[in-house]
Amino acid sequence: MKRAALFVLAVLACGLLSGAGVTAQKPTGLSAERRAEHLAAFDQIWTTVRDRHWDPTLNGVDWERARRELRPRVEAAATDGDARAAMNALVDRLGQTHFSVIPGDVFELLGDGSTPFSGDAGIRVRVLDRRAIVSAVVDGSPAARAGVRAGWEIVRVGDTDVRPRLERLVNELPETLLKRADLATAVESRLKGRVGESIRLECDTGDGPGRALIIPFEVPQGVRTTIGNLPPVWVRTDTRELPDGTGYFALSSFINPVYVMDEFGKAIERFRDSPGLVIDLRGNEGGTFNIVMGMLGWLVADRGRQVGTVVQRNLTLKIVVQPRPAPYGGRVAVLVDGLSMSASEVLVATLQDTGRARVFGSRTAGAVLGATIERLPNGDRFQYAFADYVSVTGRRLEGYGVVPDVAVDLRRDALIKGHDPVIDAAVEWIQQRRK
Amino acid sequence: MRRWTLAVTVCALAVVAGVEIRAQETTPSAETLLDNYVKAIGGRAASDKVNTRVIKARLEVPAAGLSMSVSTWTARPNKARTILESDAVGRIERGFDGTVGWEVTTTTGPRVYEGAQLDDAVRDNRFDGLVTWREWVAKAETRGAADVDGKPAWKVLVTPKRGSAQTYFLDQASSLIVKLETTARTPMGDVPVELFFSDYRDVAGVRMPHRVRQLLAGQELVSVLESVTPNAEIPAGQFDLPKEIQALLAKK
Repeated sequence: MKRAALFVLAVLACGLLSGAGVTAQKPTGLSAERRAEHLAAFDQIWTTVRDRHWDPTLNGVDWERARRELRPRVEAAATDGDARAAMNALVDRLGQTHFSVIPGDVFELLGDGSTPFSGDAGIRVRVLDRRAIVSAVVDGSPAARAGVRAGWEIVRVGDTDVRPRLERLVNELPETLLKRADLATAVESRLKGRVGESIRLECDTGDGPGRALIIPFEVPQGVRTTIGNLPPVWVRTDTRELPDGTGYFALSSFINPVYVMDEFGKAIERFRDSPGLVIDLRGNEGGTFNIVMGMLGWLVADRGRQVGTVVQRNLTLKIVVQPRPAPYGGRVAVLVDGLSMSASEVLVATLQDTGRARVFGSRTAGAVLGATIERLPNGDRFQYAFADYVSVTGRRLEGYGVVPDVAVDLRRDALIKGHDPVIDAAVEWIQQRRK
Repeated sequence: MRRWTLAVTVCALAVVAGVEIRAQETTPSAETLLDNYVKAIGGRAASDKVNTRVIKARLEVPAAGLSMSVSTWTARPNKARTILESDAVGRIERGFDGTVGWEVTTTTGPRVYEGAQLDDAVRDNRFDGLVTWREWVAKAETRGAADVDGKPAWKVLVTPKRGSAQTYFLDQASSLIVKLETTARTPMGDVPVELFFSDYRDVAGVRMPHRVRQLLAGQELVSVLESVTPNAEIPAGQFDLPKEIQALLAKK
């Protein structure tokens, strides 16, 4: 359930990179009715966290004091943004992921193509050596058709020079596990826009002259999925056979179980006799837990084996394997990076703990809490965590993430040559094991 | 030993005060409460006239904005099949053919119920439910009074011959079940569940709750019955075990 948090992150990060707050509002004053809605929203957030946070101590935060200090800010708010900032300040005191207030108006419009983030150019970015490097180009996307290639550096977006702003972000953002995600999102959010509009990019190709391109924004690739109070998510899978015969399955998020489980089941059958299977969860933003359980059942054969624990306020649930009748028996390598979050981290930790898979890449985001999204009286949405996850070996993932068995970073020189060092390392391991 | 001491103390206090004895005299027996419930929903004769039911319902998690459709087919004496479908969970299909309890889900595939979960499936899939409680209940005890949504109710702990015990709350005015405390047996462990029943309506002479609010694992779920068709024709093979379940059983 990380998507909403990521979306908020995208809005904030875009503001950082452009030097302007995209949600800035002129103080116009709030009606008494609107102020009452915000106060009711604040009270709902405060009460929900008090009653439903899995830790009765609320991570050691003086919650009564937080209300005393921040509720007056909502009462005095001149704009919706001011009121929302006070509510976010409240949940920020917990110092945990999966707590955020999402503006209702943006939320409502996110999926209809008319908001700044509804269209996608199809470029995925990682910040390598303080440069915005194209890590992947989504098949069939406008960027793919325009000839954008992995390994290119994005040096200018519209009128914005990326390098100096990125340099500033690298220096100013705190050194947390989420920093890599913040940096990548800061750039990627500039590569999204209203469907039908376009963006001008200047790129350093690394092995030839620079390129300037105009790339239109289109409806994102993937299966559009709306579930409950979540904003629309475009779920993408990529199933293909690597040159040596190893199977490859990539997943963008753990949303839409019908689609994802069907695609994963087909991948398992297709590669059942292959040397091994690479599951690419880099950039996977998480989603619902039932898909984690489902994928686990295709990969681990030990029925009833406990692999983790979900801790709620008055309830502890065991995570146990429910294997499919014929689970996959081949080698499994899982790829992760700093943008692998939430549900994806649970799956990776589970496969790592059970020895079922070898994990390649870089440390994950450490944003692993069971969360839900509720509607607030002011129309906003409130994402909050109500459960913690503890692996069977006793390790918490929130704030720690998963450390890969084999640390492999993306390298620009390899990407330019058409190689992905992380995939290459995983395939090499699978081939070694085969020999 | 400590429990015995406590019991003696309570008895002694009751004798001295006389209060507890009077209270017990006015507390109905569990047998009376369960029989009154059967009468309240229409009686055994009315229930006996219904041999199958098809129910269409909607199950919602209001706080999360989630909704799923539910279709249920049931038949005497203890056959059932339920299909839940939603974008959030995919398809969840559950059944009981009188002997085997099973489920097939989009995410985790086929599974045959075993142990406590099978025992509870036996308990829960009796077509007549509490109407025939004397046939399947090992012990029923009144456990005092309680308020349910501001109305007084009697608590009755029902221990079946097979399956785990449950506490029913029967409204003191209507004798209808207004609440049930039970435990869901899941592969992830036991989950306490509270169910609140309301909006009783007459369906072919039998009163059935058309709204059920569930509290489990910190979440509120609300089921609203959209249609109930008594004595509906059940498609042939509806209660047969799915092929995936048959394959699992064959491997055992």
